[in-house]
Amino acid sequence: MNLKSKEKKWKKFFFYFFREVFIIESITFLILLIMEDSKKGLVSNYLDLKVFLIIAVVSGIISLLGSNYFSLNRY
Amino acid sequence: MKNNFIVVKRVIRIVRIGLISLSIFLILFLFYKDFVPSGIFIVENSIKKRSAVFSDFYPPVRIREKECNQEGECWRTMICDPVYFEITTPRSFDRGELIIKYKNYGQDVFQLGLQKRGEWRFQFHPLENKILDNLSWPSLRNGGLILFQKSNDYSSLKNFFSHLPYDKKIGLFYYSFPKEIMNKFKIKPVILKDKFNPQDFDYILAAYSPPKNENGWQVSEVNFTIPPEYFIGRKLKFMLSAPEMDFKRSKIQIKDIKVILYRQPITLDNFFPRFKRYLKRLFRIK
Repeated sequence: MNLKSKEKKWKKFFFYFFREVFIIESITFLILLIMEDSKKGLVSNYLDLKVFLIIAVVSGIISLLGSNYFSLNRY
Repeated sequence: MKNNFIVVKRVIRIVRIGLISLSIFLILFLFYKDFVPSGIFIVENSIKKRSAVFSDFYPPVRIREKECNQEGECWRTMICDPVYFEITTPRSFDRGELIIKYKNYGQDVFQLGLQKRGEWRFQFHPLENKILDNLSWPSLRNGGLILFQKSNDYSSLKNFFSHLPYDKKIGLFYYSFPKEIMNKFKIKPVILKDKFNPQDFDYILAAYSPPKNENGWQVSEVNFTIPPEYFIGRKLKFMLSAPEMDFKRSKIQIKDIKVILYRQPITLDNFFPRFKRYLKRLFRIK
């Protein structure tokens, strides 16, 4: 495996990883929001919802930057 | 190239499963904490760690900000009476226990109050009463109950209750006899307020445990019942009061407060009906 292909593999993994984080964290964040809305303190008494929002936003931005890696035509 | 993609895909699948499991675990953990299946809910307010369900003390003008000494011990100083704090509970509870670590600089009376919903009325419990602590009369103790007797007439509390002195002066401190027993007294027992003169009585019966000493700090423990009318929404409002603080110009240093709330634990028999009721309340289903 040449260096260029190895680097490409890691880049691909990096962006795919953040795409997964973005999707799952966003869904978790929405579920937690619904839980908090149904009973105040159910989530916020134990966790900081801001952390989930920040993770979702940051991972969303990162995966957006690598959006060209998610094209199926590339494989 | 294709091989590379398969490896990345496999790793990503593991990451996906890991993240989904973590999220499911987190959501289940939150429901577990809120459901309180053990029936015991512990909240702490120490200088190092304050539980999110524990409010800060208020009003802030009556209690100083955190102070620490060279040994690393920290506390907050109550300078004006009274101060309040609240606990947000996930569910309703039947009874509770409060343990407070403090240093009292000259207050005869230090007490805990639990506010009744919609009223300016409190269920009081003694944390410290120096009149009783300094009383040199012979005393008999059983659990949280203590009998002080001017002359040493009784050998045990059991003996006292089976041969009650109906013609003697009795002071009752946070204790009361049933109505039918009260009616039998020739001299009615007196319900004692915070300040009283022990010499006015022959016996003093008190539901009171004097504070213990722990590394120079006093530790008081009180048990209280929580009737439903004491829940303000999902909150319990407490008051720490030293009634003479304002004119005595003394202070109380508060280190830690721990509150343990109890309700009936979940068992196999009652799990389904209780869980159904919990979900209905949670999602406001009628």
